[in-house]
This record gives sequence, C-alpha cells and structure tokens, in this order.
Amino acid sequence: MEHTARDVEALLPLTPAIFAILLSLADGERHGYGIMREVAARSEGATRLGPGTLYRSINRMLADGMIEEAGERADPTAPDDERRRYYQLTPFGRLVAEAEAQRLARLVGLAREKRLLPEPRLAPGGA
Amino acid sequence: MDTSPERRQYAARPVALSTRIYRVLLAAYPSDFRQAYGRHMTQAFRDACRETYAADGSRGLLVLWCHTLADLVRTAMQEQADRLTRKLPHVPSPTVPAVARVALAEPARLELVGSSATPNLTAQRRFLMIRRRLFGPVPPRYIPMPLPDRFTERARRSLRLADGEARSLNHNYIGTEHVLLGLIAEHEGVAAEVLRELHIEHEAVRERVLFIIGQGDHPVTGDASTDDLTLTPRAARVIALASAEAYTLHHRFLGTEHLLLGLLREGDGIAAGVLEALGVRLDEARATTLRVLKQKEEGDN
Repeated sequence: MEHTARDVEALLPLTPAIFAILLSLADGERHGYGIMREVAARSEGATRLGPGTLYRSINRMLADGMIEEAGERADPTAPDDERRRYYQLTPFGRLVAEAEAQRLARLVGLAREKRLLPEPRLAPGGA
Repeated sequence: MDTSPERRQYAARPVALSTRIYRVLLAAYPSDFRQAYGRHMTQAFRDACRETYAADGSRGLLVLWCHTLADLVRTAMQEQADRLTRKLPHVPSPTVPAVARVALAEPARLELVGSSATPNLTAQRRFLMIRRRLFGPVPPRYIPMPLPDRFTERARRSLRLADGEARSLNHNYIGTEHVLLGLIAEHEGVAAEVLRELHIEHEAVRERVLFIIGQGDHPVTGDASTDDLTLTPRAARVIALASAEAYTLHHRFLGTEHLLLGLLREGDGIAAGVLEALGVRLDEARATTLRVLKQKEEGDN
C-alpha cells in the first residue's frame, strides 16, 4: 500500500514510547526485552519501558504498519533458549521515525535560538 | 558484576516467583490482548527480573516491581478503556446491516442459541435468542469480535445481500450458505473476484443449497430493515473468524475477503460443503484469496 506524506504526518507527533521503540529498531531487529533494555541503557535508566507500555505500543505500531514481526527464534545472548518474537521496522516505519526526528530537531533548533539550550560544544580536538 | 553462583543462577527463586505473580496479574488485561501478548510480556518481565536481580539483588527487584506494577495498572486500564469506548450503541444504526448488528451486540464472547442446528422453517418458531455464552466448539484462543464500523461498505453490502438470499429461499435464518451467496452476489469485492476465478457461480451454489436444504414452506414475514434475520451459530462464528483473519493480517478493516477467509477457515458449514462439491479445495481457495490480496496490495504501489 502506497504511503503518502499525509499518512506519515497523520501519525505525528509520536508518543515518547513509540518513538523510543522506533529508534531502538532503527539499527536492526530486536525482541521485546531487547527493546526495553536498549531504551533503558540509552537513557541511562531515565526512561524505562514496562512490558504493558511496550506491547501496547507494539500492537498499535503493527496496526499502523510501522513495524512488522520478524520471526521467532532463541536469543543467543540469553541464558535460556526460549523462542522470542523479533520485530523490525517497515519502510513506512522508517519514514515516520525520520519525520519525527526532524520535527524534534526543528524544536531543538528553536530552543537553542531562544537560549533555552546551550549551543552545541565542539568535542575536544574539533568536530 | 557479581558472579557468585547464587547470583548467576538464572532460575533464582525470587525471579521465578515474580514471574509467576506477574503472569497472574496479567488477568487485568482484556483477554484478546492477553492472548496475543501475554506470553511475550511475561518473557520480557522475566528477562528484566533476571538482569536486575543479577545486578542489584532483591532491592533491584523491588524497584523493578514498583515500576512494573504502575505500568501494568496504567496500561491495563488503557486497554480496557479502549474496548469500552468502542462499545456498540443499542440504538440500531441504519448503516449497519441487521445481521451484523446481531452478531456484534457485545464486544465479547456470545452465542446464538438456535432452537436446533437445522433450519427452522415454521413461522411460529421463528426466533433466536442471543445470550452471552461461549461459542459452541470454540478453540481456546479468544476470537476478537469485529466492530461494526470496521466493516467495509462492500462487506456490509454482501451481508445485506446474504439476508436477501435467505429470504428468497424462504429461510428464516442466515447460514454460511447465504453468506457465500451474498459474497458472490456482491460482485465487486475481492471475495467475488476470487470466487469468479475459482469458477464458482451464483446459480450453481443456489441450486446446491436448494438440493441440500430445500425451499422454506412460508415466505419470511417482515422486511429486512425491521425484522432481523438472525445468524446461525456457525455463520456468526464465520464472522468472528473473519475478524480474526483481519487481525492476523494486520488489516484494520474487515472486507469481503476476510469474510471469505473466515468461511474457508470455518470449514464445516454448508457453504464449505457446497464449495467442495463444486470442486474447490478449501486450502487452495485460501491460497488464491491471499494471492489476490497481495496482488492488489502491490498493484497499489
């Protein structure tokens, strides 16, 4: 099904949970706990996705076509060999994630203009 | 990370106990959500317990529980509220075919109690009661009931046509055979296209149905807008299965194709028998339907 720009816009702004999940899947497929773990790690514990929020969001994202199931298999890094369901971004999901990231980037730029955010500092040794 | 044998043991008792308790608490969620995601939620929670217990011991587990309990209460309420706000109003809507309204009276399990499994052709005994009960031989997996506004216009039309087909045969009920006739008569939807491809014609099906069941003795009194013909338990089950098919395919709307898939999935009614008598294998018909759907999807791109 062809997704128009309007379809993408209709979904914005995304809830924090949904955007966090999209971010987490942007560099590869993951299973439920894998997503939870990455979100917690990246935010250094500030954002924690509970299983209810995670799967409620996954349900909605599946219905909207942002993600799809990517098969069930065991996780080699887990201590057991239970099958876990993996999820991956669809092309449409990627579009939505990019659109939301741009929206947030615009807001961040505006916040900088208004001096709410410091200007980005160059890393030592130059960018 | 502490690598004492006790911490390393992934089947640690507090973890196992927490997992058991969580699984029980999942009852707070609506049953269709639970059926779809319960196993995965429990799995994710157990993984989280393991890692937290290994890193922080029981104190870490306690913190995790606080967070997870809040998450559970909040999201369970949200899911329940979602289902309640979609509740069918009791005022009949003119756009929803009477038959669908009957089957969709509750967004929950329901049963149509017929006076018997065979068609009830006497005018006096022309009624069916709808009660809240589990479907007859329903598989353990809960089948989500479709919402009226999820039916496409074509699906609604084919159900209205099914009603008409039943009346034209003087049948005072709508069975799977009438649903099939309605799908063919609708003519434009995916189901009609698939049935044409399988060389299933309206006249042939109608003849078969007359052969199997015969014509009713009296015309059905009352018109379609006020006098609801009710669905046989099997036909209602077909609609529920259609909804499950749409759910599995992640389609938001229930169209004629899902009704056909539901018919094929049900597999046991008169419609399935007629299709097989006309030389169609149900699994092939299902494959054809999925293929046509995929072609349409790709054709849109």
